[in-house]
Amino acid sequence: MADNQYTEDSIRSLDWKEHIRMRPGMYIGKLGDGTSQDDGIYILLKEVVDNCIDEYVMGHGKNIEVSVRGKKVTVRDYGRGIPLGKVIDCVSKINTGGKYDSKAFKKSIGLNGVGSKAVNALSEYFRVQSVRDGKTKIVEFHQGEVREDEEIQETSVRKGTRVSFVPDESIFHNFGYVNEYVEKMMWHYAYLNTGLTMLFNGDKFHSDNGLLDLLNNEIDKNAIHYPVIHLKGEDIEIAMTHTRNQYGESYSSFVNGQHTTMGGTHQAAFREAVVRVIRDFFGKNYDASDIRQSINAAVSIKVIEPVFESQTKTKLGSSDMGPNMTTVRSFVNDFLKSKLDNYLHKNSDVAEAIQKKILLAERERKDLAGIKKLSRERAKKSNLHNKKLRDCRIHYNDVKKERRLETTIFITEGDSASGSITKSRDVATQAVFSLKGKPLNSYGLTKKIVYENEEFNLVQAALNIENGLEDLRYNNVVIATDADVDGMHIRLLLITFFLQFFPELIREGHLYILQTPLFRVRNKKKTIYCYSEKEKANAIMKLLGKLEITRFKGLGEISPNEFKGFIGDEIRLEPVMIGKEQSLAEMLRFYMGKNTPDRQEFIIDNLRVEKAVE
Amino acid sequence: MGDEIEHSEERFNIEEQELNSVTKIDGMYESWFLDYASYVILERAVPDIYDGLKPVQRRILHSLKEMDDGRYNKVANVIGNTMKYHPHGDASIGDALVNMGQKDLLIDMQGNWGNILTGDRAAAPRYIESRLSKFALEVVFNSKITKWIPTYDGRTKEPQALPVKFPLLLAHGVEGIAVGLSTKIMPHNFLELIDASISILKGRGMKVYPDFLTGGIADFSQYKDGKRGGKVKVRARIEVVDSKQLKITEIPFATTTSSLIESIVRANEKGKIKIKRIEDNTAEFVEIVIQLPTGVSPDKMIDALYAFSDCEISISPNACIIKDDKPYFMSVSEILKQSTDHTLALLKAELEILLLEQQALWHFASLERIFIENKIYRDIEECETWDAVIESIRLGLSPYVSNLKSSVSDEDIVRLTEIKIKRISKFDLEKANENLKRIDEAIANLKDKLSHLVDYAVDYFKGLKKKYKLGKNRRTEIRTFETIVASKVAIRNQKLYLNQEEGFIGTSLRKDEFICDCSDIDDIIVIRRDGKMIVTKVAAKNFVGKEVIHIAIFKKNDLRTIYNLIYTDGKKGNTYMKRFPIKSITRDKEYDLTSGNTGSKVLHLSVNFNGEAETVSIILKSKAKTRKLKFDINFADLAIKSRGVKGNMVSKFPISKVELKHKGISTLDPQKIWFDDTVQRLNIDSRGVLLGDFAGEDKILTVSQTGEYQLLSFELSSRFPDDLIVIEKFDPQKPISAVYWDGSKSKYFVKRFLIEPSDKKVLFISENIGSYLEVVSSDYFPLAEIEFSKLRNQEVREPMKIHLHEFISLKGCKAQGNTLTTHKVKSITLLDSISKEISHSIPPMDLETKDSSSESDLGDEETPQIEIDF
Repeated sequence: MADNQYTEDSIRSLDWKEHIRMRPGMYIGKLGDGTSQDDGIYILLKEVVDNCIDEYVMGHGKNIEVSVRGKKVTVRDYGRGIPLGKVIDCVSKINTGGKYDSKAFKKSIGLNGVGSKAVNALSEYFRVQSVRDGKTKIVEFHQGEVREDEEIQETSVRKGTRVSFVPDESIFHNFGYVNEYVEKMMWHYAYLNTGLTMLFNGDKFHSDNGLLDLLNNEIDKNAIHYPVIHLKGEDIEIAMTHTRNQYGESYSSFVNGQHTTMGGTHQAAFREAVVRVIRDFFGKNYDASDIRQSINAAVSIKVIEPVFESQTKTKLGSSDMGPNMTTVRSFVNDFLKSKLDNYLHKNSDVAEAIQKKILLAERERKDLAGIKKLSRERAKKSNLHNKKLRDCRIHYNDVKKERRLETTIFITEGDSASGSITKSRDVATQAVFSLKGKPLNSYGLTKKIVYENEEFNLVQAALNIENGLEDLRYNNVVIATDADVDGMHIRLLLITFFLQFFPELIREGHLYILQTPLFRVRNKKKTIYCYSEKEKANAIMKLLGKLEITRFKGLGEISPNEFKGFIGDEIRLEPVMIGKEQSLAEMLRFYMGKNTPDRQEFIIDNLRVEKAVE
Repeated sequence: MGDEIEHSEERFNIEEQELNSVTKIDGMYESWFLDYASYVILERAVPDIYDGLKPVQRRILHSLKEMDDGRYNKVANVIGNTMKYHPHGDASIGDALVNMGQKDLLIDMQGNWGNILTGDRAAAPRYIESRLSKFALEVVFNSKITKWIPTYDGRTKEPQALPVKFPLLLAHGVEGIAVGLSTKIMPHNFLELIDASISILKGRGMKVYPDFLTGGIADFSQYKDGKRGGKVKVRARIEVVDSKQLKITEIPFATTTSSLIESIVRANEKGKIKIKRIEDNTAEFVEIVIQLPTGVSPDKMIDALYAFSDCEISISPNACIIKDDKPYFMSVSEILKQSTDHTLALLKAELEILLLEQQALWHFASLERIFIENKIYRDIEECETWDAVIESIRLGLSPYVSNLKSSVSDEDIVRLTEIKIKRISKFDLEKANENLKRIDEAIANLKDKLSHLVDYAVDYFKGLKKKYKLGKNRRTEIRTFETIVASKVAIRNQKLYLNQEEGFIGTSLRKDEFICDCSDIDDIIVIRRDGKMIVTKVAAKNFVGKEVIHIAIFKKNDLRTIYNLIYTDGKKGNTYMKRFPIKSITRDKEYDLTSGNTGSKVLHLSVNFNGEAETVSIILKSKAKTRKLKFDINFADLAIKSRGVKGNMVSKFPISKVELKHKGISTLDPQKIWFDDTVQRLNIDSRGVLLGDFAGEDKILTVSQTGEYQLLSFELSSRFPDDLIVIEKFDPQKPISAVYWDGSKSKYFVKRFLIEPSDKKVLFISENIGSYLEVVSSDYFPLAEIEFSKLRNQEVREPMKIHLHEFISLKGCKAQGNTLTTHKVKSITLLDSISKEISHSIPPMDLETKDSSSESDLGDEETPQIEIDF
């Protein structure tokens, strides 16, 4: 490298698309393969749809059609269409757009003019078609470069814009869209834009009641403590209720239609305002944590030129509602002060239910008080050094760190894998927490156990979730057990623990299972770990010769250097996701509760017989 | 998608494929739960019905067989070898091996394998050694009829199930807790299982009951054939050493001496029982000695130990097994039936394999004979190619092969070409024929066995029994248990107090009036001045109302305690009297002993534990316009009726006072007492043999096989030894007649004596070693028959009948008695006595007859009638 000189020639300014492709994280957060809901490919989809939503907000086109077929995404709106002469500029020239002046667009999010350009640059195929005034223009790109620039033609199709793209495999390795995540996005669009119909792969997503629908659909009907309170005003909409048997607080917050998963000033304002209004209403100085215990709420506000704390816009940073306008805090506060207070006066039964819930939470908290003291002492110790944890350098709550979305903690089963993972991990973003033996079955226990049980207490401390998810230290909490039956059991026990005491961790998509190989196919030269029967068959084809095929039992059988492959770029995670219409309480009771004749029958009728390999 | 923009011109085409859909949390739970549950059920906790083994046990046995060379192997090595088959920790394998060894059937043990009696653990696996027992080698293995499957790492094979030709599962018993279900099968007796299998083979059925290595006594009346929902009670064997000591000689299944002692100490700490000391003197046999404080009845103590410690445990069997990869709940009989059928099938398979082998032998021996006898080997000299050799041998054989059972294969011919010249030259036709004949016989024998398979199987089982019966006798005695009412045997470690002023009773009111000792499970009866009665459980503090006139521990179903009551009905009503027992009541409910009118008042109440009736003086108020202001009433004149009756009128006039004139005697019938030999206890519920009417100081006479007699009180809690020959109401006039063998004089003696009243056990035969009681009778005129042994060169003496009362007169209990005979005795039997019916009319010989009046005899008094209300 001697001739690597630093001369005038070596100075160059990056082309816009080069820059995006070199530093995709700056534009779309993280890359990922689609198993996580904040992976880049969803941001691509969102950037495209956001433009359509802006059209809808302006009153153009009540339907937006989305299709994802394999790796190809198509989005079609019936808005006004991009002016045909500027189609190329709009999707390939940075800082180009039509939204800069219009008042309505000030409350949009796609206003920085980067969105569709980033999608274009990060796609191996990008095609945009605009139709307006009976004419159409089609342009195709490859990694941001124009490949096909068709002449404007006459057409009879309806006006609007149609964008198709295929994310670039060389950036998104081995990616795949997960149906549930896309559906969730569609629902959010529907909830936040009442009257709009989203069509995704033929399914309709439509909401008449906005956030009310959101809460009703996401919360188990039996778990709702009182009917959802739904309040709307100019630039603000909220819905809230308290749930039964669920610890923690759960919020869905939105700014200008953007799902702010990390909250921000608006969410903080809401939390504060709810406490204030309720205290004033009852004339009692209830503890804030008792008021908010088990709250489940959705908040959406519209802010002019919002500022986010990160490029992925998951946390609102704006302190004001717009230039020279009131603060977000007092806006939310004033709104709740009048609307929520009125509501409680009009609906005394709801007020009564809330009070009951607060008193219950208070009792439980006092119950825990003694034990919390003990745990605080323990926490002090574990703050100094959490003996089960081998931590990483970057944390999810370090908002400024670029790689914070990659932060991962592996919860491992005993000595099987913690040594190997420790040795092969990326110490910047990957932490290891090792369990000793099987954790306790926490089903039916009260939150006391989180403090009494040392292991649970240390998990809580490691994740930093005692007071909610705001300061969660890892974006991905990954359960890494052996793929054998005891590993399955440990997964059940751990997820039961999280479901019982930290359900929001699961609801907000932070919990994953590390997929581990099921088979090892090897000859004298090469070993291939396979995750499925199909992969095993392929491996057998590939290796030929005299093979040894082992049904894989424990992670302990994998050497640290091999492990690198299982937790590196090619890591395979299975998200733990709560479905819509299931009763979690019922599920937990059945699987984790006492033995019942029903369960016995269920087991016997569904017994899984493992037949020998080969 | 209703898109109107044309797609055709798109150049980028990707295979259409479904989107990834994620398994939701309930799907995960279902899948993982089923994986885990299925594995634990099928591969860990529940045994297979065919070989009766859990996977770990099967793999251990397979390992032991693999390593078997007749010598002992270090257990650590066995564990290591087993790990080739069992993908789990070494500790679990070691524990399973020790556990199996301790069942003392399949594994020969060397070194310290722990102690099932004391719970001592085995020495470390590197010290102790094991090998398969002869029984295991004979019964458990046969690689030819074993189905083999690949091991977990695919490197070798292991048996799917071992061909166990024995109901091993029932012999071993099993306990396993899986997910969603569990299994518990108790061990059974080796010999009884064989008998039962034979019985099943013969087309009959036979019930088997568990038998535990730790012995003990068990009640299987609710065994329900070992199915779910059944219940077995097992008790320790407890002996009374003397009035201050008990000895536990056998412990219940699933306990150890340590755990048992712990449970007794715990009961003592809780105050349920009271013992002075307990020590573990266990050596080869269990011996736990319990020292009792003075004043504690040993019999009651035994009951209390059963009620409050692990001396009695209850086990719930729950037979669950895996059959063809599925769990089933079935009865022990069904398991035995299936096991026996399976054994039959295995025996058949073994015979068939032997038959095939013999037939192959016969086939080749025949070929060889033909080949050599007919000098067919010479034919090949001309052949130039291998094919030609084969062909020429085939041709040469062809005239002779019609008698063969199967056709001649090329391999047969190749084998013929390999016969050594030496063998051909030394060929002995006669020997060859003999050999063939032997094979023929073997074949015929096998075929015979196959056609009488059941008989063969029966013989097989009988053979097992003969070979291995040593030390396999039943250890657990089967018996029906009487129910022990906990409150009757609980010790009274609490003190009951009464606060008259406030109307409270309770154990916490230490400042108030002490009433009596009680236990915390006792019920207390309280009667108030106003005639209200209430029964309530002992508590720290309980409101019962003011003016309590009677407070005592309440005994349920006690018909002998009679309450004599006089009360005024209402404020100014008449006065009535009544006698009644209190049988069953509802706790904490107020009952009226008066007619219930307000202002009623009790004037006199006495509580008589044996139905005594007193005489009281009634003093009327002087205002009464009657001549007689004072008169006496005898409660004995009043019939006992139910609690609810109004009673007989005493007087219409107001009464000033009721005074006790004098106490009376019981008006109740003497107590009829029965002896139930199934539970070895007395009862008043007509179960077993009627011993007679008992009252006062009446005693029960027992004579045991040990040559001892003992007089016992007729308390229902009394316990009786198992070897009783005589149990009856003691009659001091009735003589005992006995024939015993004197160990040192080597002679039979006859003696007759009267029982001397004493509470101790009295030995009435010789103390010399080798002495034993031959026959004993409490009849007035016992008749014995003596048969004599045949002596060399002599005719057998005719049997002789002896009337013992004529043979010897009554003497003292310690007397030696008279020699029975000088001849050699074969047997002595008691014949039916002629005297039973007449015994009462005839006074005992040689003694003056005393007047036989007893305290319970109340002369010509009317028999009171008891009415009971429910």
